[in-house]
Amino acid sequence: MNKTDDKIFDIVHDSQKVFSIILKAFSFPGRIFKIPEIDFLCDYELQKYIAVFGLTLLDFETTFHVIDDSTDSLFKKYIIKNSQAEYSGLSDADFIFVINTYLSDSINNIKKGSLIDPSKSAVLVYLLENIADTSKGSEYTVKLSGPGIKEKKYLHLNNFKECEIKKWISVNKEFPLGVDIVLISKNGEIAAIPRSIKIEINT
Amino acid sequence: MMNKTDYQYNFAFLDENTKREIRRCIIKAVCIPGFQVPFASRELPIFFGWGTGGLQITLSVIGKETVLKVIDQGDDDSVNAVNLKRLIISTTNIKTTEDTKEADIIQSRHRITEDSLTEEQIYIFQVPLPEPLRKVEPKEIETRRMHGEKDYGKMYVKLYEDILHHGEITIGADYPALVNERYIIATSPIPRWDVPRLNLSENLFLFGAGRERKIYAVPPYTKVEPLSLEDYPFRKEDFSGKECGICGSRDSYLNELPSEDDNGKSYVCSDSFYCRTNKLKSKDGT
Amino acid sequence: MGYIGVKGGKDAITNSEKTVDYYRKKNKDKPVELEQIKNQMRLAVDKVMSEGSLYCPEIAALAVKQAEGDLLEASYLVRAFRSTLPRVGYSIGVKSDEMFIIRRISSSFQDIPGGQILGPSRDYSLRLLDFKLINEEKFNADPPRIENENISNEPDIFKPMEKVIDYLRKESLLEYPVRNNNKKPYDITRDQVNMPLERSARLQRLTRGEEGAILAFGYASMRGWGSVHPTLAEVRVGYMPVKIRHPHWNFEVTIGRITATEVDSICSFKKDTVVSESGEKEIKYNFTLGYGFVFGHNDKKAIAMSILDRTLSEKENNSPVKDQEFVLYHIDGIESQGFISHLKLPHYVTFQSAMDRLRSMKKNVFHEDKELIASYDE
Repeated sequence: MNKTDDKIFDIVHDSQKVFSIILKAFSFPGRIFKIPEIDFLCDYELQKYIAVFGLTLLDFETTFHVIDDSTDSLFKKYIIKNSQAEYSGLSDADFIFVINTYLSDSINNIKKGSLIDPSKSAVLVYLLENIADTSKGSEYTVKLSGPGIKEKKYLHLNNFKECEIKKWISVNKEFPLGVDIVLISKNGEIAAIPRSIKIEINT
Repeated sequence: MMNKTDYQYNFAFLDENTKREIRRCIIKAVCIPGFQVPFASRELPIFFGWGTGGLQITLSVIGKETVLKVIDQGDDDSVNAVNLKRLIISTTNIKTTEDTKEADIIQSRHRITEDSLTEEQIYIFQVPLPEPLRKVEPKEIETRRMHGEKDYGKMYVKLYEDILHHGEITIGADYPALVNERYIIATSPIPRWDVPRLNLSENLFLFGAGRERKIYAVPPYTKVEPLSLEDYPFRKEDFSGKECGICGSRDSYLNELPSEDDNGKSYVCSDSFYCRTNKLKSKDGT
Repeated sequence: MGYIGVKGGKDAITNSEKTVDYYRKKNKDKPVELEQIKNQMRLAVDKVMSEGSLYCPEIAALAVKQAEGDLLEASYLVRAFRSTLPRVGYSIGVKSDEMFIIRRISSSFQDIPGGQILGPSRDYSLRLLDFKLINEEKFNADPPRIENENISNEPDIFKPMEKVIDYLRKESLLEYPVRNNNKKPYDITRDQVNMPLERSARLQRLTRGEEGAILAFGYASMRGWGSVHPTLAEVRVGYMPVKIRHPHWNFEVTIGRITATEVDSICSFKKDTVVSESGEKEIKYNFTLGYGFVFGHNDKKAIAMSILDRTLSEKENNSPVKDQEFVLYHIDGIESQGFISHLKLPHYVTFQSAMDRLRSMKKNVFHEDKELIASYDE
């Protein structure tokens, strides 16, 4: 038997393990968790953790969009092939993956839900170099408060444009309308910022 | 098809697409505390109205390593709790416990355990009627609008009328509460005794209504205020001067039992695990 | 302290299950065979397939047997089983003009092309108990012969039959359904239920609805709570081919057939203002249509469904039966029996809370009375 046959993402148990970490991240905004190490053959090895996130939550009933700094759109192809999710335009997507880049002004075009059903809105998933809760080497910190946070929580995002964070603040200013944000680092750290969270920038 | 006498169900009964859908709804529910997220509830091998909402959340969240506790009325051994555990175990083989502290996930009908909960635990409620405004407005389209616009006037009018006609608020269990200063929720129904426990809790609370197809959440460290009017504050059930006939507890939610002696009634803790450990403690002479 | 803890939930459940099983078997008679249920309890099986929302006579027969003939319970067994089945694909929409008809009547016209075919029906049988069935010995398995010499031309049931409503449409007397081309039909088993429901979702809720509830609301609508008293254009019962598109070669393949009952009912006419492409306003009068479709042979449910389809399509909402939420939330037998039955679960924690309120209010009354008496004394 071919050894690599064993190394597939177990849709039942691996996705449960990953989901429980994602749920933790959303329950305790700004707190950094580690996406479980899953030994599977990922032909998108470069950004394995964001692929794992996609495989865990997406299926044929969801739409997604990718904003990528590369031109080969490997990630898009990988998700379509392995989750059956439907690729859509930015304004229709349930999940928007932002890989090594920024949404900038196009953040205004994404789904924010309606007052009747604010849950019909997008989840923004950023892949970035690293996330930390120590301020080493960081120019500024993001101060978070709200449901899931005991008092306040600080996040340090290295080399992440401050103006993107300002976009988050503006897109989520009309709670319950808004978007929910997930940050995933290349080392598999994950932190979430739901729309219910107040974001302040300390420079 | 008809020769299949050994039909195999998926791990945790639900198919993986159903779990994914429910998981996505749970995340939305956590992001919008108190908002009832609609979901496409499935028919399960137990009746709608018997905990299918809580059960679908539990089945979507548990893994092979999860330790689960299920209670009904606070009791681990109540017939419905036992029956739910039976279904979950038969499709997952996971470990169950009665020890509140040992459990990763607690599924409950009508109670919050007396013992405190931690950040590591998820508490899942079975909800029969998730719409707190249904008492004042029968139409779903209208109640959804009211939530959307935070138009809760009718609800406060009901409380006011209660006081006008009866001198106080008449709501027993399922006391409505305002979550994160935004959405009014139905509190499961748990007794008023348990409602303050939702406020700024360490753990995540998830609420599932299967028949009504709604999921909502109270995340950890979230403000939950029972509705009240000035001069008529929220009040818990009054058990003053009463104690549990088994463990002697004076600060747990008590069930009243009609009996032939003891002035016609006696009292016992509704939380069976709490009662047992409390009795052991007092036996040890502490 | 007079309390003895009521424990042993697990044993109690197991013993109760054993007992109910014993009740089915206690007379030690021959087990009912699924084939017998399928063939001789045909309409029970049809009802379970319809409310269980799964077309499979064998599974429905098994459910009827397991539920000791409680058809609502049997429907629930089927629904719960259904939700575990993977979805392997979608059929092409079935077409009722392809139906192999076993029964077809119209009350709108004296005769219709293709003829009126009563087929298997108890409509005109006298409801007298047939005591001969007590000692039935052997079935006559031959189909009945037509013994009326006046009929020279037997209706050609093999020929696809035009629908009565097609005739009315050709005559420009009947509305066309609202088409939503390019739009996936709603799927009430997969999509979130958000009121108001579009028509495809309403029809799905209705067709899985509990027969008694559908009849009650349909009847209420006819009696004046919805003002729909239709004329039946057509009731047809028969076998319909179910086709899928071949996954590799993309042609249509018939994968089986279902028995179904379909009803088109003609309701009162309405006035529509249509704006043509050139911008001219045109006023159109048309009959309106109600549609019923159920798995298996069940005239009355399909007719009542067609009434409710029409009633719920009406714009004004001045009666409970016209209210989508009132009708569609309450017709599902699986949901209603579950919630009614949940009252049997323990509620002592919430009841304790209610007693606490009542006792407190009784105290208030006592104080109020005292105040009242005091004010009289003055």
